[in-house]
Amino acid sequence: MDITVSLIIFYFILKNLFSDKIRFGFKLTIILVVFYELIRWIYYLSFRA
Amino acid sequence: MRVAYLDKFPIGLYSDEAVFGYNAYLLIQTGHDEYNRFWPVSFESFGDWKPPMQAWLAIPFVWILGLNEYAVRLPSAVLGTLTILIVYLLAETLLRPGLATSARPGLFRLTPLLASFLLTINPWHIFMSRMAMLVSIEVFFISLGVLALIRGLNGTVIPAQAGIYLNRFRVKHGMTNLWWVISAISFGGAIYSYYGSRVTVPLILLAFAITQFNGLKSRWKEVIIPVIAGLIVLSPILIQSTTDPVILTGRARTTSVFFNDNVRLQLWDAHTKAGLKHVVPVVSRFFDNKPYYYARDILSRYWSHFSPVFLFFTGDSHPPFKIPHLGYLHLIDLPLFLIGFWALRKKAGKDSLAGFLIIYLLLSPFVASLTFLTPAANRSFNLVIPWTLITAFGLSKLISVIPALDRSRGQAPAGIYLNRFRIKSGMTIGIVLLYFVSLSIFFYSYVYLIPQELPHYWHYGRKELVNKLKPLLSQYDKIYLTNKGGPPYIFLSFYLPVKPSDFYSTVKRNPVINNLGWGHTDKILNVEIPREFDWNEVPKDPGALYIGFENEIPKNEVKIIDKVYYPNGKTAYVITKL
Repeated sequence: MDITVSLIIFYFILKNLFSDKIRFGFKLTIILVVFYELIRWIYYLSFRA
Repeated sequence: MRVAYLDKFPIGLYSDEAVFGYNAYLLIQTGHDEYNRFWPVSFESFGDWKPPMQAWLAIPFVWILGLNEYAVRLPSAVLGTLTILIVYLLAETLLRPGLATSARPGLFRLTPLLASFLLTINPWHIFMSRMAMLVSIEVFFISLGVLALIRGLNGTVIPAQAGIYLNRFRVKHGMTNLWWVISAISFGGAIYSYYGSRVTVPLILLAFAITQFNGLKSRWKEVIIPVIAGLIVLSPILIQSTTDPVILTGRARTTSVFFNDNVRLQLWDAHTKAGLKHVVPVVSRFFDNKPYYYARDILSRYWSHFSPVFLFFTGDSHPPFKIPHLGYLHLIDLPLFLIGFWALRKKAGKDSLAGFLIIYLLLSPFVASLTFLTPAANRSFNLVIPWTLITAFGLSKLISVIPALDRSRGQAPAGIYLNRFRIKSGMTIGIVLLYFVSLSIFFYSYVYLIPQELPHYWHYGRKELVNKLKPLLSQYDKIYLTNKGGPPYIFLSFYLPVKPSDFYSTVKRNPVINNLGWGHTDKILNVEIPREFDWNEVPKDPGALYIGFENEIPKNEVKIIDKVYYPNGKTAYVITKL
């Protein structure tokens, strides 16, 4: 969760500096990290609880 | 605020400050450091390596004023004071009219004045400028480097007249951009000042190159000479680091998060639990792996430097950087910073220098977040410059709102008199009053509470002990001195002071470096310093003197000759014999 929140904060602070391509790449990274943290959370609930 | 009473406040001389002072003294006398190296580019002490700039800068002051606290701390105080001027120029360059919040030209000058005023009364900056602990001089060199870097873009900063860029240096010297040469030398100075700069400086240059890419790509030839100048400045350290890489990295290994066991233990715990649940190892490693855990750990340490608790209320708990019951910034800064940050962020799309300032802010605590003692006031000290600039920008933005209020006077409901002068005066008096109260609280804590509550953080008592010991040194064959609370050999060397010939002939180093990277000095003159001062193991010699903290020496077994007291009346050292 820390990584997702950090990336989102960085995105909102820096988005005005980026070109459209970098903004897209940043968003894609955030989506991938959110997806990873989501399945990690499910993994913890399912196998490690 | 930075230069007065440097010998009295901070209350004692910290061991690192004593190292810089005594090495400066040795360099003046012999040209060698305490390990008998000729003009080294990194000073070995206590088992680690210290950057040289602090000691180098102390040389003229120690030479003129003698070996004392004032002479050692004066370089930091002088460069800290000069940083205020640099911040004025930085604000003038970065927060220029295009970025200012009002059409009124007068405001152009207001923001730099506010920025320099805010840095003048900034507790963090005052605190760090009054100690010889590297970061004050590092911030001076980095801010000067940044200023010169931006001034090197001069053509875009000063409005062109009839299409001619007013960059005097470029016109005069053809392709040589002297501002960037100054910047390269200054960044080199920062690298000699503090290990953190060896990461921060390349990151700042990278951020500058990225944000100014469009302007720079046609000017790449101007970069050649500054790069050569930077390499010449850094050549001594680069050459020496080829034979001994630790000169370049210092304590980076032992203080980094990668050295600390925290993440490794978390991973071990996660994998063990997964194994007990019969989770396939590949799956376990996919979810519990080093990159993920380290990224999470570093980010959490990174954000801790922006925590209001750290910045305004508690500060750094590690010696000697704690200010009792306070953080490092005025709480009144916070709303002004937020206003400034919001305005700056909106401008960043149109103005690349505004974007650079935001990245400068974000980069400042990066080095600190790579270490395991976080939040760290010294390692994140670069934060103070962008923080001040943005706060000043926020304050000027707030002031610029007043004309708008004035214009609305005609539409104000009856009975409400929005007199611009009264609002402006009231707001100014209110803000000045809040800063005055906040600064007074800081000075109360600095001047009164630190001596009362934390004198041991500042190694208080060492000077007083050495003064009491001076007449006793020749009367006793052997003196056993506790090592607790900081390496005593350096205080003996500093305050006596020990002559270079006596120092080199009597100092005895312990070859064992402990797991935290600390070395030990076993002996200086006739003073034996056991690594662990355990009363049961210290040799009992009727002709010897024993000096330790009150709880280290059993009163019933010795005769107390003298005591050293803390300012709060508690006993620091007891000087005893059998």
